[in-house]
Amino acid sequence: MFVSSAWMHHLQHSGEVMSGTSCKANGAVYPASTTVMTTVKKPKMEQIQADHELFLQPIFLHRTLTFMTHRNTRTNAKRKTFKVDDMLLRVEKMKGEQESHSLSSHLQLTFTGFFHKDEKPSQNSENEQGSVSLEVLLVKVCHKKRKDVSCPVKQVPTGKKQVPLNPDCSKQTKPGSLPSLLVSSNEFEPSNSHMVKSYSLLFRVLRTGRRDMNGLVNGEANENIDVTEVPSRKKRSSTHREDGETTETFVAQMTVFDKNRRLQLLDGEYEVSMQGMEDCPVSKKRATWETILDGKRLPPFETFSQGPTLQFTLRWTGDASDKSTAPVAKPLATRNSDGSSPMESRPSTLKSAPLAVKASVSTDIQMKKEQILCEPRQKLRIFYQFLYNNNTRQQTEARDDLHCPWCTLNCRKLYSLLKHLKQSHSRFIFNYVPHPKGARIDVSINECYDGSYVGNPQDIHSQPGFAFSRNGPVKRTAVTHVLVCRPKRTKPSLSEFLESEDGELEQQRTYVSGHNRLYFHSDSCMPLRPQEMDVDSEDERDPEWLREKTATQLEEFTDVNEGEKEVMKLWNLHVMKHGFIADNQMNQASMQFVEKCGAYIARRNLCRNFLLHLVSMHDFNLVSVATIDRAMSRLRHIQEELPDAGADDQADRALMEGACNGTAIACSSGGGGGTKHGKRTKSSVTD
Amino acid sequence: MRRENMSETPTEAGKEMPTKKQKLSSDENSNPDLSADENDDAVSVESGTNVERPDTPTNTANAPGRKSWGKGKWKSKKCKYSFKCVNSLREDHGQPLFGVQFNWHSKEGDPLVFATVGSNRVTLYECHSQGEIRLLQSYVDADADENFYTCAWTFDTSTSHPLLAVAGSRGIIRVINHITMQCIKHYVGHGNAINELKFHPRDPNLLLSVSKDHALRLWNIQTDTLVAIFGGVEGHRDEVLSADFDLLGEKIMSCGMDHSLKLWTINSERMQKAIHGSYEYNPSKTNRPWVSQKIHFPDFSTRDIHRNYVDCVRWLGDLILSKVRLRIFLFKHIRHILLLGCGSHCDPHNPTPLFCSSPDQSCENAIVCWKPGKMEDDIDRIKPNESNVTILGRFDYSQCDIWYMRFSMDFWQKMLALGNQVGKLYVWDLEVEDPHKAKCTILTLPRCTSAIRQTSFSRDSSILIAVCDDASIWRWDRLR
Repeated sequence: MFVSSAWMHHLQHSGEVMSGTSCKANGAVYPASTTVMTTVKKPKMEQIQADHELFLQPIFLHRTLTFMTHRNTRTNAKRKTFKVDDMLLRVEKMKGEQESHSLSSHLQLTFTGFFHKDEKPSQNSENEQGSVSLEVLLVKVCHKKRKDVSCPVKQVPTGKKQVPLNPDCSKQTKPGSLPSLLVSSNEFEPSNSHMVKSYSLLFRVLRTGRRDMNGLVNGEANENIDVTEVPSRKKRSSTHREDGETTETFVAQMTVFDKNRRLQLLDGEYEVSMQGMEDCPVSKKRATWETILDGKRLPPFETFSQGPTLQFTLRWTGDASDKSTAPVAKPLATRNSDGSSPMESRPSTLKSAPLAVKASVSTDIQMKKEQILCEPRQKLRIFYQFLYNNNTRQQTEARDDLHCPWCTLNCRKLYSLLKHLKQSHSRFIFNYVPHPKGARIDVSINECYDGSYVGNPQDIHSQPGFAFSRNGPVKRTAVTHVLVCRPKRTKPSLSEFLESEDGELEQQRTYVSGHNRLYFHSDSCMPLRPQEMDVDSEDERDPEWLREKTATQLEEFTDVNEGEKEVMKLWNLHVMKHGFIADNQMNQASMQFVEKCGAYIARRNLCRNFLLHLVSMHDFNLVSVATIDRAMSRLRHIQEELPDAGADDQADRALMEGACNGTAIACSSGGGGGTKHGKRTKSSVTD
Repeated sequence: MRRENMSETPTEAGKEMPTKKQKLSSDENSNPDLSADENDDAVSVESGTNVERPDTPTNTANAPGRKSWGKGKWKSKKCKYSFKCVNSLREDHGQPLFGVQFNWHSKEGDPLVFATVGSNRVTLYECHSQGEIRLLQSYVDADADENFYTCAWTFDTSTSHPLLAVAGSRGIIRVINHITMQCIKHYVGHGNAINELKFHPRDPNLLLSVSKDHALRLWNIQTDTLVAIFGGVEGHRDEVLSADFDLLGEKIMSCGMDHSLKLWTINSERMQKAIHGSYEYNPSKTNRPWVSQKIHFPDFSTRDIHRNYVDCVRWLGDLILSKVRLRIFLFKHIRHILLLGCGSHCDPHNPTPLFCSSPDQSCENAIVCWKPGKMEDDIDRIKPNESNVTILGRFDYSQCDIWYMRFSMDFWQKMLALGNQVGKLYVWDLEVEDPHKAKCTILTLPRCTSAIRQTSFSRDSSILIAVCDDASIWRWDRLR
């Protein structure tokens, strides 16, 4: 039933990145389970990552859709006062700040809690197991040196904290009481021995419990991480085992700076999906960029309602002691089924504290404003009723939020959700049915769905056929146009999603999106690639075949001598090439002809033939006497400038002159045309 | 101009011709129904006058009582080849099967595989002993309106998988890899139906397609480029029905509904450069479009062989075999006389006339063996404006007056097979010194009465498959 979910997920994900709601929007942090990834150094993996990054390039923006306008959290207020110079000023200012604070700034992590819905209900967390032990390590992946087999990895322990287990989100905790860690930004300075390629934070949660008998401990599972630097940890884990007390270990890794030294962790609230170590000893071979969760293959979205997750607030601060500015970690969006405020993406440099605070304050304000605009908040339960086997069977699943179940896009309004489903998931038919607790959406397979033309019309002609090659997301044509259309929009109403009585077939038609126009070469009917559009190869003024045909047709004349044929061919090609069509162009054409072909005519001793041609044109009132004079003097001039030909050439010339002397010339008389293969009139000219 | 030249040929070559011409024209006028009797006259008279001819066993024309060839008497003659029908089957769609091709690229010892095309189906069969025909695979085009007309085998140069190219009424060429069971390539571009596909004999990536759009196209299926289009100002003026590469792959002979046969050389510098360039072109590395060659001028063209749709042409060494759809009542007067030489066995400088006939008469209801230019002319030096043709022989048959009926030859070009519209199969032995003396075997079955569209020999010539208009397939095994 969910054939499309995998690739739709990717598509939407890319949309997320684009809309500037980087990490916070869904509360999901995608690199969370990439523990092994950064340490596995395979060129193939890098290739896959590069592909992935390429794929995440902006494709479309949800916030620009009319039914998703509430996703657009930016205001255009600043645009009025915007000056280009301000950008430079801002960057300069930031640079100065960065230099000044670089020694004193910190990365502050304030942990809200560790969430894991286990076999136990959450109130049990009030007992003696109310907290878990958290260890944070800074992992530095260094550049490979020649002697190294794989990239050297350094792990710097930054501290251990006790973090509350499954705390009650509704209770407001005092800001100061939450466990907090500071990582000095000095740690992110290049170290002396190895050039560090990337920095990431490794979170390791140790939870003692009764369930597990032989839990793997971290040292063993982290086979890819160079553990030589932390022998103490190894020892500790082994003692755990000897105690007979079972310990569950959960890990997660987040990249702080990637290999291009881009800052990946911006200020904000994070909820990181943790991975149980005993379940999933990920080997090098299995490592991919996909989100594989402890072998159960939970959809990424489910992870955040089930856990295990670690929630914390991240801030880059200028002053380590200034704790008052740290925002209170609030419960995240997914838990409240409420859209969190998307965060503005910022330049990927270290930010000073005042800036960060300002940003978070402004988002708060926006959020409040939006809450007013939104429909009255209530707990909506959406029932998805899947109908199949000719509607004879059904299966129902419910959700407590307005996220799209296919692509996890937070639509935040029922109308938007329905519109989104209908527009973006056309493999299915969605019908809305009001429900006392919320809404019911009937989902059935769209028989009219035609995926063969999804994406790019070029794909139809790609080899092998599109039908065989498509097994993943497809990229649309890169050609875009801005089309302005302001249709009269009806007021959004949920009634448009109700099942219609007459079963409108038209509504089920797939929306074809993207640039779906294909062009063909005019001379071969072969499809034209988009990048070929600017090459005009099909100019048909004097195609080769026509030039050849003209020449062969002239060759068939029996009443014209060779010299005349030569001039006629030259002239015809000249006229064809420059497209002379009118009588009054003939003066110009003659002069141009002398410039272009003068040397050739002189060399081949065709001067007299050319003169005859001019004279017969004069007879038909096509050229003036002045033109004949000018053309001939120019020709004589060219003739004189010619490098002296050899004796053989001279003999040739004499021969040719003899042959051409006093012969008749054929000339065109076609109404104003210059071409010679029309009617021919013979005119004797005495020179 | 052309006609003058034509009539000169026989006068130069044979002095007794004028009387012959007279006789034949009167014959034709009196009796437009050309049965073998009239021809027989020509043969016997001619061979009687030819004392220089080597005395082959077939050359017993002087003997009194020898009446005709093509009248069934050849059956009684000891023909080298005899076939037995061992199996037949019928495809369920009931539509005409237009093409059949054995895969000649299979390894020795592998089962013999052949493909049939018709309707929107492509079906692959395997031949086994005791006449068994095993159905391997069948491909159906998604479009019910597709009607495949032709197929051709090649192989993948990197994996050496056999590949089958098919095409038909929609003008789309599809390349099927039956090992991976996929349509791996498809080419659009032809403006109309495709009537025949041929692979280059030496380059398995070069595919020639001939189309109803009056043009031929040469494709490179490795780089998916269109190398050249043959057609245009001097090209065919109607549907192109058939084409063939010569043995070395240097020339293409095409024929069509415009009654003409045209020669296109592809060993010219221009074409060699284009073919080479097509291999080097990589669309993913360049934004420059690939420019196909447009060949508007054939290297030789004739309309003097046939007076009707020419629906099949094959090279036989430097000679050409071509076949025309018969339309018996549209005959015209004899205008000129052609020399029918005795093939490459004659002294090229002193061609001996064997018999003469009008092209009108000799070329209908027969496959004609001919060559461009005069007897002694080298095919590679033929000029585009050459107006002579030399007819060397003919293979007579009857009841084949619908078009799109193709003959075929075996791998070694020792046998020629053609079916007619009532299900009779003619097999000629080409291993005779004189092409027009080829011996014929007629294979008939009471049950097989539908028009045989195409035939195909297995590579070892042991099996002959014929496909019919009623979707039936007939397997004839050669008796040794």
